[in-house]
This record gives sequence, structure tokens and C-alpha cells, in this order.
Amino acid sequence: MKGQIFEIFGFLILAIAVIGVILMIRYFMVGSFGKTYSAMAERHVYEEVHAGVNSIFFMTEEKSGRSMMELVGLAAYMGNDTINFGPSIGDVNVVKELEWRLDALYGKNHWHLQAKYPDITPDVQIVMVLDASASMCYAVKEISMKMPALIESFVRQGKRVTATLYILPGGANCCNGYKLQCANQFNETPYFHCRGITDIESSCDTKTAKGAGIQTEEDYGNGIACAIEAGPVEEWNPMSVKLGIVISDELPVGSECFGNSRLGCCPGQDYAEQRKSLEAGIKSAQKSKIPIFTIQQIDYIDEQRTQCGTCCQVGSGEQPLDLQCACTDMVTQYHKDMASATGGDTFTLDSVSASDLTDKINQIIVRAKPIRKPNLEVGSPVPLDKNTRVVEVFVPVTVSGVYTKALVTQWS
Amino acid sequence: MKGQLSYIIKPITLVMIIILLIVLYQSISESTAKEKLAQKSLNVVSGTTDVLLVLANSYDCLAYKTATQSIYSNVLDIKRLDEFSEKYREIEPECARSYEFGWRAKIYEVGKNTQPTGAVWTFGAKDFSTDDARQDYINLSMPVAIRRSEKLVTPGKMEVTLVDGELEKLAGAIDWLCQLGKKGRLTESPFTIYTHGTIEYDTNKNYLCLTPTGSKQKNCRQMLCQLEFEGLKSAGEYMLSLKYTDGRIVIK
Repeated sequence: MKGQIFEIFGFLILAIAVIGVILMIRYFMVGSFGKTYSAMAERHVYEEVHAGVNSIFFMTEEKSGRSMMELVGLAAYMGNDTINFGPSIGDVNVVKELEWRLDALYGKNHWHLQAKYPDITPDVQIVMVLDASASMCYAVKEISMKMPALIESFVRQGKRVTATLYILPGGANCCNGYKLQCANQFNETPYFHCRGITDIESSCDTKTAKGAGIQTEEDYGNGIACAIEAGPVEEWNPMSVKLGIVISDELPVGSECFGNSRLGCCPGQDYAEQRKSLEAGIKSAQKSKIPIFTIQQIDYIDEQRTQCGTCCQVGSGEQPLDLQCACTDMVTQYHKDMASATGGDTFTLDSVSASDLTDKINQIIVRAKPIRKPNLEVGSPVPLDKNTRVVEVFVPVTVSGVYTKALVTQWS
Repeated sequence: MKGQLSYIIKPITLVMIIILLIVLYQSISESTAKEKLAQKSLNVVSGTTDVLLVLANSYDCLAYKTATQSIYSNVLDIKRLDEFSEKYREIEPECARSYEFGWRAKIYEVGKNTQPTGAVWTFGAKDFSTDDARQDYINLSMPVAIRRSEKLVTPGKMEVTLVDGELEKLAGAIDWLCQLGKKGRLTESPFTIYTHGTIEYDTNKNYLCLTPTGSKQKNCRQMLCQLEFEGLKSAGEYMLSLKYTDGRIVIK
């Protein structure tokens, strides 16, 4: 009986062993197939993500024709997601351009891109517009003597600054021996240039309603608009910090009212032309995202005297006496309006010391530090509970000679 | 009594052991068969990924190459796309040919709403095995950039539909011999196939066609070489002899 029981037990053990073997075979086979299949599927997904990242950086943006790689490099150089390519192309928002492309390739909320912006000081480009009425004779002399050296000093410090001075139409002789024009008065350097605004008038579209373009020697509203549209001599660099500077002691177009040059500012007067010119300047600066800094000259300065009054005898007649003085407050207000609307600032000359005007310009350049973002970040936050794939791409940062790392994370 | 019980139990145990061993054998055989099927399925997935990668990364295929010979991965040259759409309307290009499977590629631009915009380029096999003659198929895609000009590179997608079928296998084996035969590297090759339908050859069009059993639909593929082939008149397993002679493949 014992022997038979052992036989039955023996069979049962054999049966259990065989069933165990069958189950193990199935388990391991299914398990290994499942793992291999998911590895294959994962390989495809990874290749898909890699292909997407590879291709997206070579795609071009329609308006600028630049590749996404270049745009990210430019944005990293600028420390800004929006790059301004000047008046004809306008702004290109790198975040938006990347966003719709990555959405199209991976689907919304399935990706994240981050690229660190390196700490870089970009070039500074300045366009300056100088009122060319006789009361600006002092400024012409100052700028001629000091500006090229000032710009060179920045360059020597390793900060690439370029400035183009546009002088409004005029050309009058000054009693200090200068003329209100560029010719033969300014040392041209690779970094500083002087041009008459009429030289660029044809290439800017700031024609007034009258079709007169820049109307007077004080029309710095239309003047700065024209200077922004045409750009500096070396042309706008999309990567630079761009600044506009206006130097004047009058309202744009002029402070005269009722055609009476001696009447001075008229209380309650509308000054429609002046306002129109100011707004043309503001509009152009806003469109190109260029802040305008205004420098208000001390009214009608005599180099020997610091108060309002007669400057000197020019030609056959005496210059107007009280016009600029009477309009001081209104000019200040116009300058404030222009500066605040464009993100710039206003300066008023404190003295007639030889370095005062260039000191103000120096302050503007020193303060021209762009607000830099620490990095470019697009897409949804990376989920912690999902399987993610990360692709790393090295993006050359324009001009700087350094690379930044773009990390693209994708998940299903 | 003990002895009589032993006489009954021993044979029963023996029979049961035999049954168990048969079950074990069947289970192992079944698992092996499943493994083979799974392997095929894996081959289909990896084969499709390979085709996509080769198309997008090889200059012989669609990848853009500069004058200085730099190759841009995943950036497709529009000139090559136009050329492939024209030249490979009915057959896979040699640069990414799979002799096991048949495939067709579709490349299109995508816009902001992720929908296809603009032109669509297609090339590869025009028709595939259907019904029982089709073992497996898959459709996978990959993002690409389409280079229209230096200043215009647009986002796009490349889709590949890959089919594992009897027509593709037979045509693949014949085309493979044709390619090697042209290079003088192989002139003869045996090939075994189980078909779920009849196979015929259209000499005029140089098409190899399979009609699945119970279907009136004929699925055809263009061949690389002219064939001398009487066809297979019914479904079943065939051992074929393929021979390359003077630019033709003779099948017996």
C-alpha cells in the first residue's frame, strides 16, 4: 500500500514539475518577447524624437529665412526670446516659432525645450538726431570734439559701440566757427559716423501727410523715425542693443506758433504738427523696439553766458531771443512723452561745461544693458511620472564663439 | 490485493506520464511557433524604423548634401523628393530596399495646425499582399525637415507603410537575385514559399501578381528584372528554383 501511495505521489510530483516547466516556458517567453517588443518600440520612439530634434533646428523661419539653430543662437546671444531684425522684417519670437513646430511634430503637451543663455554683453548701436537750428551750435561743437573719442573709449574697454549722428537739414554758420552740418567737422572712425538726414530721407518712409518728409531743422520726431527706419551707417545688426538719441532745445518741427518766430510758446496752442512729428518718432521706435533717450539743450546758450539770451550775431541778423526759453517746460514734456512711450529716458543739460553733453551720452551708453533672460524655455513642464526621452543639442551662440546646450525632452 | 492494485496503477501512471510529456512537447512546440511569429513582428517594427532612418539620413536616399559634402540628417532635399516621386512610383528605391518586406513612403509638410499643407510626395510599392497572403503590416512616421531652398526649410513628416506578405517575400527574393545577378555575384537561389492564393506574371507590364484565395482582387508588384515564370496555379507550399540568365530570372 505504501509503495502505491509513493507511486501516486511520484506521479503527482512529476505532473507538478511538468506543469511548472510549461508555465515557466510561457512566462519567460512571453516576458522576453514583451521586453524585446517594447525595446523595439522604444527604439523607434527614440529615433523619432532624435529625428525631430535634428530636423527642427534646420527648419527656417519664414520672415527672416534663418534656421531655428541660428535663431536660438541669436536669442542666446541677445538673452531675449524676441529678436528684432529691423524695420523691414520686424520681430521674430523664437519661442513661438519653436512652439508650433514642436507641437506639429510631437503634439501639444508632449515636449519641453530648454537652452541656457550665456552671459554675454552684446554690441550697442546708436542713431542720434541733432536739431540743426542755430541754437544748437554749442552741441555741434561738443559732439564734434568729444563723440568719436567717447565711442573709441568704449571700444577700447571691449564694448563694441557704434554711433551714427544724423543732423537735421540746416547748415547755418555758427558764431563759434562751426556749421550745422557734417562736412569737414567730424572725424569719421569705424565706430562713429556723421550724416545729413537728407542723405537717408529717400530710404525711410516717414513722409508726413503733406508729403514734405522732414520739414524743418528741428523736426526730430520725423527725423528719429527716419533714422530708425534707415538704420545706422553699418545697418542694424539684429543682435545689437539699439538706442535712439535726440538732442534738441525745441519742440519737434519747432517751437514757433502762428508763424511768428519771435512769439515764443503760445499758451493753449494745439501744436498739431509738432505732436504729429513726435508721434511719428514714437511709432517708429515702438515698432522697432528701440528706446529713445532725449537730451534737452540748455536754451539758447551763449558759450560765455549761462542764461537765456542773445547768442551772437550770425550773418546779418540777430537770432531769436526768447523763443526757446519760453518753451522750456513744453519741450521737457514732449521729451518725456517720447522717452516714456519708447522705454527710454530724458536728460537735461545741467551746465555749459565742455563735457556735459558727452557725459549725458556716456550715461546713456553705460546704462544700455539689455534685460537678459536666463534661458529659453518652451513647452509643458516635464512630468515626473512618465517615461521621458531627452536629446541634447549643442547650439552655437552667434558671434560669441561659445556653445549653449539645448535639451529637448519628449514623452508619450 | 496489493499486487492487483499495483497492476492497475502502474499502467495508469505510465499513460498519465506519457500524456504529460505530450502536453509538454506540444507546449514547447507552440511556444517556439509563437516565438517565431513574435520575431517576425519585431522584424516588421525594426524594419520600418530602419527604412525611415535610411531614407532620412542617407544621401543615396533623401538626405540633403551640401556642395562641401556635408550631409544633413533628417533634412530632406526637395530635388530628391521630386526625383523619387517620379522614378519610384511603383517600386521601392534601391537605397532603402528591404527584400523581406514591401513598403511605401509618404512625405508631407505640416503646418501650424499639425495638418498636412502643400505638396505630398509618395513613392515605393504601389500595391501589397492582402487577406491571408498578408502576415503583418505597420505604419510608422518620423519628423523631418523639407529643404525647399537655403532660406526655406519647412517641417514635415515621413510615413512608411510596411507590409510582410507572400507577394513581397517572393518579389523580394527575385529582385534580390536580380540585383546580385547583375553584379555577377549570384546566379541561382532556391526559394520556398507557402502561398494563400495564385501567383501569375504579367510579361507586358513586368508585374508579379498574387490573387488571394476567395478574392477577385489581384495585387501586383513591379519587378526589377524580366521573368520567365509560369506562375503558381493554386495555394500551397512550393519549392522554387530561381536562376539569373542574361538579365532575366527563370523560375521553375
